[in-house]
Amino acid sequence: MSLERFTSLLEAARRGDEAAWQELYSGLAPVVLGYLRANSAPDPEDVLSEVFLQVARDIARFHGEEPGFRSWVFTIAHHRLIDARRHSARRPVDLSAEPLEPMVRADDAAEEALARIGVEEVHRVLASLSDDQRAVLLLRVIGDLSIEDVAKAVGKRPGAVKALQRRGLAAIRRELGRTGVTL
Amino acid sequence: MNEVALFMSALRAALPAQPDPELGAILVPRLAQTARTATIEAETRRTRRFASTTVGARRRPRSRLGLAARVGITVALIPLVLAALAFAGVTLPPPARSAFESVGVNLPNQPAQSDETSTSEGTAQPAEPRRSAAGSKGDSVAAHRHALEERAKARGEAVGHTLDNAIGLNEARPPGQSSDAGPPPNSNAGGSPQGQAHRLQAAPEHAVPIPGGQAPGLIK
Repeated sequence: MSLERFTSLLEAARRGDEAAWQELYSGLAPVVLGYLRANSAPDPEDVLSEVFLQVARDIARFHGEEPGFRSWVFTIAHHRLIDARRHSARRPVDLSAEPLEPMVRADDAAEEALARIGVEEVHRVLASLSDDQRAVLLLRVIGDLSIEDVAKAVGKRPGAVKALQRRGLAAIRRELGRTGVTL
Repeated sequence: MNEVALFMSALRAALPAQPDPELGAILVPRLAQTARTATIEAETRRTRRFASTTVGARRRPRSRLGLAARVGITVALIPLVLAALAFAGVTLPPPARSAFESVGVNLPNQPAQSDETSTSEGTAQPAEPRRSAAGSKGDSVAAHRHALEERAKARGEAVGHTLDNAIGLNEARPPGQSSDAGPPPNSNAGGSPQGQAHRLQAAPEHAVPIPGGQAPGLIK
């Protein structure tokens, strides 16, 4: 999306234009919901609603471009995820019990990779990570956040975020090596 | 490393999930309404802040004017307070009186000009007695003489009361100023044996036999 297009979309959303909000919601809700589900949010769609309501309340104060807006929305999502976890009993990460249906049309390479690995395998490997490792990797991969943005979102220093990412990738490599996934 | 890159690509395709369409149908109008309200509130806050800063900027000269007016009123009250004190009978300091006199205002209950010098020399006296004394100045020689007598009385120089001239007290010495070493000879008070012996030896000079039946004061 070009800068002018995003700016006009943001301005329309501030004015309360439903079409603008429909476009923002359609573009961000699937990835945010995927992030919440992958992090075992207690009620992902309920948390998703809270995330977008806070975005609507605070959108008058946001100033920036599309990557910044995406990073801002994921930061809100991470905070609401922590709140939801605090308000509910902690549940074990069992993503296989709630199979996810990939719906967003990704690029061909991602589709091919997913076809080779499989959705269940992806969720199984994710479940083997710690909460912090999973949050950092998902914010980096799904949210496209920089190290600094992830650090702000999770409330850690950039060095700690890099360490978590490195350990998470090592854990993924170990899990994939155990199951023998290769190109 | 290739396995990890493959996993990341698969993750991008696997995780995004379509939310419930009913949720979107309910949520999107609510989001639009919330954003509209929030934007209006933010603009209202901004307008109020701007208005408050503008009003504050306008009020500044008014507040300065008020400050100047307050200072002026305070300065104008000072002479009024001094005049009220003078009416109440308080003697004002000479600078304050001279300031009033310079503008032609004579304050009541203030000392006359001639007394100001004595007042300034440190012989402060109540204003009222001094003014009465000045009013009777030179019109009574008798009063002046009376004043001198009173002064002499106060110093203890009244007739018959000077030292060594008091009636019946001639040749008398106050106790402790006599040259005698001991008590009088006819005293029963004790004394040193030397004193006693000296008095016994000197006694014949004074021991004139007094005829019987004649008191000492009746000898002619």
